[in-house]
Amino acid sequence: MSEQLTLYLYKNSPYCEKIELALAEANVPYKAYQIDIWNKPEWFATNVNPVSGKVPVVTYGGPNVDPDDPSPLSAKVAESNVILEFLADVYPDSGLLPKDPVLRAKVRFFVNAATKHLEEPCYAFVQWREPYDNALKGIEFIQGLLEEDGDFAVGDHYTIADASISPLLARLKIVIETDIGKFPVGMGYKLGEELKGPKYAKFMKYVQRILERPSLKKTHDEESAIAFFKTIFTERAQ
Amino acid sequence: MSEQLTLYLHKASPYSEKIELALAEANAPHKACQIDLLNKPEWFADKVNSVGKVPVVTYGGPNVDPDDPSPLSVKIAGIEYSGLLPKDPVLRAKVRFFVNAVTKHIEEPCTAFVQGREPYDNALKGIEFIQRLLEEGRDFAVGDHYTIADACISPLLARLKIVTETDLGRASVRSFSR
Repeated sequence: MSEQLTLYLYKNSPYCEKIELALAEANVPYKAYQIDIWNKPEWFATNVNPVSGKVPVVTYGGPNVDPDDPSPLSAKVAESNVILEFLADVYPDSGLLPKDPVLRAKVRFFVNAATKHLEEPCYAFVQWREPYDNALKGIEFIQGLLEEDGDFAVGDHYTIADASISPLLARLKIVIETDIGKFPVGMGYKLGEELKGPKYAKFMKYVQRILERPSLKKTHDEESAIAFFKTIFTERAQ
Repeated sequence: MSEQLTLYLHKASPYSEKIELALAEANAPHKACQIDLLNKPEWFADKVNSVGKVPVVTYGGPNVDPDDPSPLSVKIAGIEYSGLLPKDPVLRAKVRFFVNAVTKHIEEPCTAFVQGREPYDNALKGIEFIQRLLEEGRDFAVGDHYTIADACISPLLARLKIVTETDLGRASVRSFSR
């Protein structure tokens, strides 16, 4: 596969990080271009993502041009979970999706569950739209799906299931270790204490292993993420 | 493909309908078993789907009656049962984007409107968003063949038609069909 691939991303976006992780684990060469989402270049919405103007977006194929001069001949793919599936399609030997249909269904169910049961309640808690009860329930649900004693969410290889949940887990770690968020002071630490219990041991073991992966250490800039959180969570609830 | 396939469904559920449509368009032989969601048989949660929801598909294993499911079949739950996708990766991405957009921009606001939780403005915005994704003069949402994009939006459109023609729903102001 010698088609060009360019990823347009914003460095603090967990959705963009999903794609970076998948590309790193699949060992795919690609060009990366940072988009300042607070100050987007005009050509981005017109020539790269006219549908929603958001990142992440990948361009695939077409001539080998500079990222800031995208060609109309390349295919444009948006939406993080759609991009993950696309990568699995164009790099079928990467292992990003298993070959077996039943295992593929397990991977997709996991991605769907991570979005529905974990992403939403976790972000809702950090933005203090609700307490962390639903996040804990979501963690239990995800825990039930994990392989026993496995390094990966599904099967014995890194898949888009791992890529899709990792950025969230990296940010969950920040929240419970630094207490940064819109919720009342101390509630992040409290969540961390709850997660130390035996009830969540399997989940936390998976979190630890997935956060130790070289691809994540290379992609995830924790200091930058912490600094970013501090700028958006300036108010604390009482 | 000579593996048995059984679909457990509820006849009024749009999620079950997506799967029925996909199986019908794919001409896939299968057994169907209606589950009364208000009076679920005990074996359903024990042997088919511990979460107790429909739709669920059992695949493979011995050819048994639907109400006597075998532990040897694989149980597949979750909203998207794939099988109707183009071969080309870029077209596949278009189909998946469409499915994602339907859930995010249409399903939620339409459900919220019918349940009286919000006015139909977001539903209209969602319809505009989906309209921009549709191809001019084509029979299908993406490409020139029925895909899971069409299957996933059809039950919603059928119910939208009912709402606009009969005014059923919890919206507190009488609305005229647009």
